[in-house]
Amino acid sequence: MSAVRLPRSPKVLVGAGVVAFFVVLTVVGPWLAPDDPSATNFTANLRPSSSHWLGTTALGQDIFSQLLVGARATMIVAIVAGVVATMLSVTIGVAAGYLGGKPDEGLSLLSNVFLAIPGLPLLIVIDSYLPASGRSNSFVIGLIISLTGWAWGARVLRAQTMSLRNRDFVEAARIIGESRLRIMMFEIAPNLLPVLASSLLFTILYSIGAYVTLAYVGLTSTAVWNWGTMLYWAQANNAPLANQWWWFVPPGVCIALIGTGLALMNFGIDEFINPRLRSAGLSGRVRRSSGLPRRPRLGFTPVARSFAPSTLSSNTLSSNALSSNALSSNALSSSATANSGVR
Amino acid sequence: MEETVTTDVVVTESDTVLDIEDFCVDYGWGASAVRAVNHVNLSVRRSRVLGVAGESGSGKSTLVYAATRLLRSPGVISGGRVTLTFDDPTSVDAKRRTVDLLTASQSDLREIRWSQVSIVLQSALNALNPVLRIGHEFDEVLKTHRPGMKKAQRRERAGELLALVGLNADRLARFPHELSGGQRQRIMIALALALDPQLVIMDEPTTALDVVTQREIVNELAQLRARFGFSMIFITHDLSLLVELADDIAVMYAGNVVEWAPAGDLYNTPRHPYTLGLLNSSPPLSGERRELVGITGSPPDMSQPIAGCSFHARCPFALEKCSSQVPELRVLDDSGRKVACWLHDTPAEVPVALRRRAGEVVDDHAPPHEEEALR
Repeated sequence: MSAVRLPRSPKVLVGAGVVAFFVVLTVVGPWLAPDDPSATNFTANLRPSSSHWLGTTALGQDIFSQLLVGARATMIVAIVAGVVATMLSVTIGVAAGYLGGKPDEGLSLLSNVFLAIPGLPLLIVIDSYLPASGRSNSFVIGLIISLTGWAWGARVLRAQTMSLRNRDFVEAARIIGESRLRIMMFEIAPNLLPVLASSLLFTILYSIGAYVTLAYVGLTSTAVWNWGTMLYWAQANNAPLANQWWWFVPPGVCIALIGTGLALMNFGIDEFINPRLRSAGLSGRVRRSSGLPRRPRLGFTPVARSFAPSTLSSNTLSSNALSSNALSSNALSSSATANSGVR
Repeated sequence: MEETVTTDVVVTESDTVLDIEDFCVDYGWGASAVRAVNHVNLSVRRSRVLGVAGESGSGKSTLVYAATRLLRSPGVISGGRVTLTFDDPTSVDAKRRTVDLLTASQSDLREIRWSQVSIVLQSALNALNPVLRIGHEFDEVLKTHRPGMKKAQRRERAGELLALVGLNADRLARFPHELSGGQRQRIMIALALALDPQLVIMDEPTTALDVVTQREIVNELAQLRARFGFSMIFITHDLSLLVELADDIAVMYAGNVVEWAPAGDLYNTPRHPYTLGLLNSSPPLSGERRELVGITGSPPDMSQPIAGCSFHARCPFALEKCSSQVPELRVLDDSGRKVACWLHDTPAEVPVALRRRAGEVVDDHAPPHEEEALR
């Protein structure tokens, strides 16, 4: 048995595969792109073909190149915003939950305010004040999106921290004189990892949505290619009306795929939160064929008579010892039927 | 209580409540499965107490939890038969019913649990809901299982149950944190008895308590058992405590029952080296002081196949064949006690410590008489 067991359910593997694919695309996408995404030197409105895999735009740009180049900005913004927002929510949520009293009131008020403000209008307002250099910088945009995305995570982490802070191991750490910062970082935070990971995934998902929306309404620099600007240009050139599906469907599909991948990965985090959900890595099919339930139910221990334990089937005993082992277990069961138990 | 108190329960030898036959339990499935309970045969007689003893990790709790289908994932029952026999209060002629717990449906189990089989867990603090008053816990179970009872009747019954375990009825209005550990454990016992079950399982109910409280609770349990005639499975690692309460004791080691005997016999004249080791490592409650000897080594790694007797590596009397051949649990003499040990194959070579007769020990660590325990 290895110390760290990765989730092996097919859902999680598919999700991780999809997300990994897009992360790789972020790195290599711009190099793979066959053409300059902004170059307008092709015939306009070409359908997908072998020379232009996803066709061309009304301006004669290669859509496949736009998609590949656009992956980078989209993913960078999403990851920057996801990581920063999660860091903010941990800091604020754990501090509020652990410190309690006045600090809690202040920090809770802050997160409530950010929860109550509608995220998108706030983003639009902040964004419209940005200088042009800021609008074209993925990191700046990511930071701004993170501002509107941390509050929900902070509320959840605050509640979790409050339930942890009175546990014996935290009280023991307080009594032996660990500093507050150390308790928050090393005693409490590791317990929040499952929640944190799932909050990170959903914040990334939110950030993709927010960035694409901003770009779609034209609030990011049109010089930076991302999937939102592709949709913006498609809309501006009436692609949906002209039935030029190859223009607006690919970015939409990519966004949906990443969302699905992240959500599938979240199932794996479920299994981490509750290790009992992990069923020794057996697939649903194997479990069904051996008469085991797909999900363990509390108070209903499964009965699987067909399963032979590994101690008898695969072992390092000599054949001599093995046969005597089998013999004695046979003898035991026959004596059991004759005697039916110890009386 | 409406029913008359019976102090003398008629017991016939074949009258068993819980019958465990050739029972196997694994943790995990397939290639990674670890066998935690290995072909165990045990039965609990009506109105008697079966003690299950052994070190931590010997499979005693796994055995009992799996037999009642309470074992959590990744536990899997991989073979055997468990039957529960009880008087069905719902049938007209109060016929005795036998249910196979391993094939029972979830609704059958739901009906049987608490009303026929109840359990007292080790940690009473975790078992009681901290935000509910004690009275609420009683009210809830009575409301569910005795729908005919009125609110005042339920309250009265809860008060009676508390009185049974020596607590005042005003405790019903308290929260769990307002009570001491002993009081909480008593409440757990009272709750377990709320529906007059025929079998009560005690999973180390006194381990977290001091010896004085422990003694009080064990005495109370013995009294309650004599009064209501329920059977009990008492799981503990404390053999000297078990002798006070149990009628029969099964000693478990590495998932196997290595010795089964009437309590007094097992305590005075242990026949398995492991039982002897367990007895020598705890002080006797009465009698002279003697040197305590621990068992060297630690329990085997169950994920590795064990050749021969599972205890041979720690056994001071191990023979050559102990490391290659598995001893089976066999009847030792006409008293019906059983032991799984090769030493008893050749009576002449049995070590002195394992062949003493009861008379030879001059009250060294004799248990109190059963009457005393029951009084």
